[in-house]
Amino acid sequence: MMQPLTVRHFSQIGLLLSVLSFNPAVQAVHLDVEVWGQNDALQAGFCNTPNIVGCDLDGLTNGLNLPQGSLPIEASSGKAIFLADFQDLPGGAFKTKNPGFQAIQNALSPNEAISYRALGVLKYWPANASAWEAAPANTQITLFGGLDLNSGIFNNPEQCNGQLICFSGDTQGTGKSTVFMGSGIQGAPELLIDVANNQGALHTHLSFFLENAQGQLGGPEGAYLLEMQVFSRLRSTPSTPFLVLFNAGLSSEAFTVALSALVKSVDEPGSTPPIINVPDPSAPITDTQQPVFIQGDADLDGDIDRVDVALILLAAQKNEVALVGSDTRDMDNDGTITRQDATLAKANCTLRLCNIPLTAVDAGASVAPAVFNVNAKTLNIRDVQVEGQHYQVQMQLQPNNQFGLQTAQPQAKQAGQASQYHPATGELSIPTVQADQHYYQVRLRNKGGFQFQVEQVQEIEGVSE
Amino acid sequence: MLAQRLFLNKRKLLIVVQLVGLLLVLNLVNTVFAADSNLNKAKQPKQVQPLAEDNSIVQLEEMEVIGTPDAPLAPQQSSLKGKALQIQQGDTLGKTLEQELGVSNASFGPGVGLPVVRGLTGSRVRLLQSGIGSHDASSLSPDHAVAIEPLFAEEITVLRGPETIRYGGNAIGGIVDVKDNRIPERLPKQLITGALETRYDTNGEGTNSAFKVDIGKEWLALNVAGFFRSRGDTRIPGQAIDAAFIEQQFGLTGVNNVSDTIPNTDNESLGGSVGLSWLGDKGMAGLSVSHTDNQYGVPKGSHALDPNHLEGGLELILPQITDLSGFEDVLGTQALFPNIRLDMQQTRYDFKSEWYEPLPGIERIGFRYGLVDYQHVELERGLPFSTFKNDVGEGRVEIDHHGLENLTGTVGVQWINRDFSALGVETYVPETQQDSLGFYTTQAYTLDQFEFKLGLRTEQSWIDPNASSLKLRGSALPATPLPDDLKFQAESASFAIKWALLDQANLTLTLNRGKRSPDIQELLSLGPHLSTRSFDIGNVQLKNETVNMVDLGFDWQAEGLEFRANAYYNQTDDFIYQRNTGFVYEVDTEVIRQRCVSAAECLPMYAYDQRDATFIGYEAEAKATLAKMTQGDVSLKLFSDYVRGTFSEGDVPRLPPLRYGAELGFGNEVWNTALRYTRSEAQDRAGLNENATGGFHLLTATADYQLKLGDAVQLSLFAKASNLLNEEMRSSVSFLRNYAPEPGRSFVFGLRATF
Repeated sequence: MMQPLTVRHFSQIGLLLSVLSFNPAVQAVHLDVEVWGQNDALQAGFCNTPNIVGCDLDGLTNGLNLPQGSLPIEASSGKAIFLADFQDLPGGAFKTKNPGFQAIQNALSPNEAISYRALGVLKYWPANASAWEAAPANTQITLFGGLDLNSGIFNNPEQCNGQLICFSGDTQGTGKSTVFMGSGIQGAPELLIDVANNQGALHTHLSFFLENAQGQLGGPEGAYLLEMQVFSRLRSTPSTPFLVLFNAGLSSEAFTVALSALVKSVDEPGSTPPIINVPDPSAPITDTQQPVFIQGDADLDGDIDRVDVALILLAAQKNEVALVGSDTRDMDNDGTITRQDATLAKANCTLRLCNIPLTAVDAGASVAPAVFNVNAKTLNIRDVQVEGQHYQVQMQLQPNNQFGLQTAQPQAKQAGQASQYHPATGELSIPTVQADQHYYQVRLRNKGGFQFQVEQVQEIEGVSE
Repeated sequence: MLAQRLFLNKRKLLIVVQLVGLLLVLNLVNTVFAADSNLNKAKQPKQVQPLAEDNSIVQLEEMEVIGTPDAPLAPQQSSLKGKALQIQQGDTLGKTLEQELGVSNASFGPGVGLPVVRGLTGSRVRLLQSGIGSHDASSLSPDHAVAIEPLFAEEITVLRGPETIRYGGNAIGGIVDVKDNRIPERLPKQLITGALETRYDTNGEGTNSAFKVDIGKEWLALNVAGFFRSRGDTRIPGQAIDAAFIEQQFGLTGVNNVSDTIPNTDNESLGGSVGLSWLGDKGMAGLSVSHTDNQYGVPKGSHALDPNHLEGGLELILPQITDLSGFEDVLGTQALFPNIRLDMQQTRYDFKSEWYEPLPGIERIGFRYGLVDYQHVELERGLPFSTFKNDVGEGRVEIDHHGLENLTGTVGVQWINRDFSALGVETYVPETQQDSLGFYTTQAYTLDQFEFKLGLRTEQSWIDPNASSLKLRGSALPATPLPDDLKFQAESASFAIKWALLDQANLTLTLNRGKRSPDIQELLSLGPHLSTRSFDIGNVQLKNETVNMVDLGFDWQAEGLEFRANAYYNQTDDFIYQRNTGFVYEVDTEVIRQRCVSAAECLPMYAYDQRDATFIGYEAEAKATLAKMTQGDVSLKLFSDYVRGTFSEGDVPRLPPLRYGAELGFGNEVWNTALRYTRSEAQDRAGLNENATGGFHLLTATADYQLKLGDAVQLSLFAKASNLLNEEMRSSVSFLRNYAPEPGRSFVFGLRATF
């Protein structure tokens, strides 16, 4: 179930951040450039949606004398400066996926393609330096864009010399990167970031690499600054340019000095540098396109995964009261966050890491308790109850009127009549199986080894829900 | 050409061939029944004469020996049987054969062991069970076990050269044939004979038990056999994961590592067979039904290696939750770092019939057919997530002749019908039907001290994916269209000349040009393949792979001394391999990327492609009796093998290293002991995207003792100590070498009683 985003969600996200904020490391690993459309223009900024996941900078800004949740601005240009750290992920000292790019639901048009455009030159701040300078000749930052389904990746074997998937350019993919250098931009200056989903949402992380001119990872210690903007073919005005400041091995203090040189706080000791303020969570949303969120999506990242289940479980452990109005964690809308809410969220979780997905489940499975696909010879049973637990089950018809169990996916109890399995007897009773336009009552018997023998098939008149 | 015209309608032709086979069986039965009107005479079948001993039931008459059952092995052939097989028998076929020259074991944890012959494995080596393919999923992926149970084996033959022509064009790497006598081919020495065997392995507390009973009288023979195997997790010296490799490859430190054992490597296997044969004077006919269950785990690979970086900050949230009950399936340790288990089942129906000397000049007409119903279910967190099925029928009709005085040979036809499917999460190969039909002949001609052998084969195969398109899960890409039908024609030829230089010395030159048609996964795979840590991309325009091999062998037998050596050069055109596209696939987000920040989260994307490859290598072995003493003989064996494979740029990956060693034996007819040392050198030529493996010393010791309990029971006690130095051994041919080393020190004690 989807619901419109309200200011109450901001408080919910604030609570979420408090869960994650006890360890500064996590703050540094999820930094996003928020992207949204505004009429014919594309906007890029920091926390346009207050406290949205991905705008957490505390780990980087704690030592920079910046107000919490704010983003510094380059004094000379007014451009926002996104902070990132090459050492924030276990990929090594010279690689990072930050900043990512995120748009909440309805912030973009459905299936809108968002691209970046590289600008300016790569700047470098050596350790113990006093001024920014162009990056050394043998040092570069390479950014790999997303693959464009229209021109970057093909899946017609006729176009691919027989390969079922192939990629444009050469086979090693070297033509699809942007190289930020002290002398300017090389490679592809514009590349796709990602395509919004059907709800106009987007969340993706590209890959930044610090390397030498030969493409070998590594580079001198210091801070690096690059510039880019985002644009969409659907809108005539790109975003205002913004900067990304990378820490490559500097201490927090040294990195502060590098940042300060950009925001001019060095010239005015004790003054607060120019920042982008997070909107007041209690302020009404001005955007006419109200974002919507999914019930159970505790971290508001557009899906229900096991992170959401864990967050709801943790909230239940703390006996948290649901936020007034709607709270995506309060699945049963009873006003409190309980383990039952976590159970319901788990049942609605469909991602690979949360639940093992079934394949080829017939669309009709949501109508009848079970559907037999006469072409594929698959039997999809919507809800099998086994000693209080419920499963979605797929079976494959085999010779001698036997069905082989293919998949069994745990789930919450489904509406309607469940099929019953009795482990003691091995009997599986399915009240209704739809096959073509006919309905049957079926009884199977477990013969061991995931094999079920058909014992009884009786035609009935219709769906017995 | 007639064959070409016939191929135009493959279905009709296959039906015709199968009907011909059936008619042959019926004709054989009719003829033999007529010939054996007086069965009470119960003549011993001619081909089993060498095995007949004192037997009051069987009255031997004058007979002509057909065939040469104990002929010396060709240089390209090796055979393991008897006590040697008993000692070497391991949990897997690869483990059982790993000491054979030119053979290595590609393990994927102790539950999986594929034989690697001269560096080739998978689709290039045919694994047979009494002449019919194993037809499991082992050629598809290195984590799939071979469905042949070595405990049942009576003889295992590794074959290269002209004779491989008989078994299919894709056997360009060789043949491994496990003969198990499930279909009885001879009467037992007495009414009831049998054997019981049990063994215990200290490593993993493994127990193996097996039995077989042969019952036979006059013209009927029955064979019943069964086995049970169980073992716990494998013990190893040191840590399972090569931490240095992980840090170098993925930049990760502090990974989920374990010491002393490899978790999730236990397995349990159970199986049995029943075979019944009618053994007549003019022929035989028999059938067997067998079933094998094998449940095993595979060691964890690189996925979820890093406990300090889970998606969405889970590693920070979970420690705060005090009660996970009811949520273990998504948040428990098994959910975060799941064990993968495989539950394999195979049922086989095998038929065999032979008709001896039906016509002058025709030595034998044989029919062999196997119907294999294979499936394995892959389970994560105890739940099935993928099911692989392989339903195959394979048949062969052969005619052996001795038309001229010095000319013998075989003409045959072989066909295979295969229905393959992989349903579930790991459906990186679509449901596919595969048919093949091959005609072949092997001929041998002897002229003075020269023996010539020729093998020719033509084979046509059809691969027909049931789906018209393939959709990549989680991708916005439209479905990839698939061709309706792929057809391949392959001609193979092999020629060998053996020159008896001296009385007991032979020089053999073999020339082999063999073609292998692409396999299903090479043509049609599309998706992440977690066991090999790759994203596989098939190619529907692949051509046949062509082997051009020259093999020179020398063997010499003298009093107290044996020597055999082979050297080969193999130029393979259009060798099918997996080319790294340079792109990666993020498993958790299901997104294709050009480059990956955290390599542990990404799979490299490999596209099947072709390029020429060259293999060069040798196998050599010398045995000598050093001393003959009253207590027994002292013998010494020296051995070595090596293969080097190269592409035009770089090395062929996962090849075995240079191997050499010595075995010192001491024993007599009652007892034997042996101490064997094998040095495996480092494999520094690891190939593209592979890492080098270090060398190791392998020291094993074996002993056996035979005694009689009364007149009826023969008892054999045996023991084997493996990896006595408890070395950390990482095999260069294993996909999982960086995550699961070979087993540490182990002691096996066994007892076998025959009656």
